[in-house]
Amino acid sequence: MAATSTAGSGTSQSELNPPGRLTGLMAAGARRDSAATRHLFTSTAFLGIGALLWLGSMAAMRFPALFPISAGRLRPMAMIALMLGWLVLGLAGGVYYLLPRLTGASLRGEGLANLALAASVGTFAVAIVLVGLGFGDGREPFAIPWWWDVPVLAVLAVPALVTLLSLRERRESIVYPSLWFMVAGVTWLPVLYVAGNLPGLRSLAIALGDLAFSAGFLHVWALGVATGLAYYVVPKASGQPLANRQLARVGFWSLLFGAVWMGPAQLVAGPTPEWLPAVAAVLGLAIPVASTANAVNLALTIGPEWRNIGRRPILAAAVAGSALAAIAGIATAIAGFRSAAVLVAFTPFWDGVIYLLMFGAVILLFASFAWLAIPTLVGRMIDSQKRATRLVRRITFAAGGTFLFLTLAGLAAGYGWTGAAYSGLVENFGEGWAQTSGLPSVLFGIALLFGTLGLLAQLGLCASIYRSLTSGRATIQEVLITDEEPVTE
Amino acid sequence: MSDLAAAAAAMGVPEALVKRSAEARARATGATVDDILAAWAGGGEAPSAPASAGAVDEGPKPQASSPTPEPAVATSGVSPEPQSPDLEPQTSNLEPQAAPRPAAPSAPPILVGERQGVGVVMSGSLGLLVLSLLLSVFLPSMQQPGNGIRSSNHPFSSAALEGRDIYASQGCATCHTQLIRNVVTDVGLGPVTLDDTNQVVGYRRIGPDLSAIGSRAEDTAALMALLAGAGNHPAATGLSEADLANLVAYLRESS
Repeated sequence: MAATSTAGSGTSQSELNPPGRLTGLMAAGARRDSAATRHLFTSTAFLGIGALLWLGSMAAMRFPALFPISAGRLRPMAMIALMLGWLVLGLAGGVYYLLPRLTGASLRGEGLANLALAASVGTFAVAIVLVGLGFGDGREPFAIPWWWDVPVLAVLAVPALVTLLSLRERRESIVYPSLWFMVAGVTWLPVLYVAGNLPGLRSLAIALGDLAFSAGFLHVWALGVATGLAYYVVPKASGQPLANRQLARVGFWSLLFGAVWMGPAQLVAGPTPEWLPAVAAVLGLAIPVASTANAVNLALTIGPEWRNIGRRPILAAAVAGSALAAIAGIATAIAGFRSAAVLVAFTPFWDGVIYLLMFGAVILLFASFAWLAIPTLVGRMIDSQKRATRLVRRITFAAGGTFLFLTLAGLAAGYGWTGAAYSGLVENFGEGWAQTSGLPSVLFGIALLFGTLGLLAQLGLCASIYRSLTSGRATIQEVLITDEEPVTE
Repeated sequence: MSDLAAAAAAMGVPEALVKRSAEARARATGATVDDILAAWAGGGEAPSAPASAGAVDEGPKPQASSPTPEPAVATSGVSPEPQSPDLEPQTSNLEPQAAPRPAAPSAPPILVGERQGVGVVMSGSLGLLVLSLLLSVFLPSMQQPGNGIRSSNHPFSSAALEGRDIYASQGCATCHTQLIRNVVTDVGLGPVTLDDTNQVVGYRRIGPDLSAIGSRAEDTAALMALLAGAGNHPAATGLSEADLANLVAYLRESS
């Protein structure tokens, strides 16, 4: 039932942010949107660091002798920087930005969020160093030793705490689709982390837990919360109402249904129960349903603004990001079926899917949100809309190319193993692909070239966000001209 | 006198601001800057801003004292935010004084929602998560040997078990699996892997599967050479001699 908004009505800004009501720890260092601002800019630094480490880890797989640290250490270091440093902090910043705007109440625990940010930076940095020094426990995706999982879990729980506290005070009786994704994301995050890092399990349980965490994190926290932000950004930037609330509902619940199942699908034909891959394949179909529904909904919402999409980087990024998410969702579902899974499991195919999700879909949705929020947060516009539009094109191109060639390399490797098994060439070719000079290595090399272009675009996005602080035009409130006070020369 | 100068003079506003405002209005309406300046200079009707500007800036509405009739199309937006966060300049505030202000747009709602409790979403999503984890992680993991699955229960020496932990901490599983499946792609790699406590399964096969490396490796010296960086294998850095020996013991006993 759609309804007219009433909550938040008649409340002034001072009422929304009563200066005297936040006390003690919860108010320490708090000012309006301070948590959102700090999270956004801090996470951008992690994006730059993580993007460099990611490309390094991929290159170390192809040219292992060239790197002083093995891919086995570089990869979890990159994932800590990207998934924890960038995605957790950046999207938490988005949650903190939207909560007051969607609930009509001030953000509770803003000071706590700021303190948790400082703790997060320290915790994640130490984790990266620990893994780099060889203290990791080998569990994907982070390999953080179990005794350091505790502080990580503590900081991951803060967004849930702040969200719950804020929702208790909400004045808006209407619940928007953005809020669904945010609530699901913040509640899933700590629970998933516990499930994916329980100590003392045997090998199969460890593998299933690790894969379930990665899948759930990428789909519900990263893609889910980013999509939730897009459900706010696109209507605001286009001035159009959401095209279809029911479609958003389909997109939300389908995402939750299918999120975890990308994991077990990779262990097809392993020592798991026979029914597990079948269930994973069927429930995995919910992923493309979700991502396609969300992409279509956002595209329909833009409506007449389509004709200006080339000049509106916010909208272009949102549309491109959601479209890439749909492509990744389709690839995920296909790879879940047994006939495909036996071919692409353990190959770079899955690296391609993860790359497209993180460096194609989520990064564009993140950029869309950042470009919309920055003028409000820091009082300055993005320095150049043209540059922002170019970044959208470059990120889309690089992510698409990297995804294409990584998936092709995966298929070539899978077919190569099959051919080797039939021809008896196992010792020469069938046990891996990096040490061969065959087609998979060539395709992987091309993917690395696209990944390098992607890295430049990702660093360009970081620069664009930071440049807004120094080079962006001041937003209108700094040169406000009112009817009562005409400006004279 | 140009339209720009005329508009600025008529309104008592600096030309730069008038020009910037006209450009913003032109972008927002699709009209040309010249048309807008001409309209302002002559006191004519400038093209109205699209609904988006007004819609985005729509502030909170007064509290309805009676139930609000439900609109045919989903309506309403809550935007305590004081200004448009879009990249486009907010044209209405920059509009020169003498220009006739466009009629307030019938602001279309931009966010669509409905009254419901957040608890439904929260409990539903958490319930789905717990159910998914039960089915995909915990239930499959609870199966015990003899209850539909087989386990090799491979015995390892204490040195090899220490080596297994080093294998994990070095991230060997990033490039090597220890999982030979009952599928055609794995034919010839060795016996099919059974559920076992001491495997580090791995998810990527950049290098060879190491489930049965012990039965294939020529000797300890060959493995040590690989770990030192022979061939195309990265060197295992930061390991003591004892660690290397334990790691090799683990690999040698994996068969």
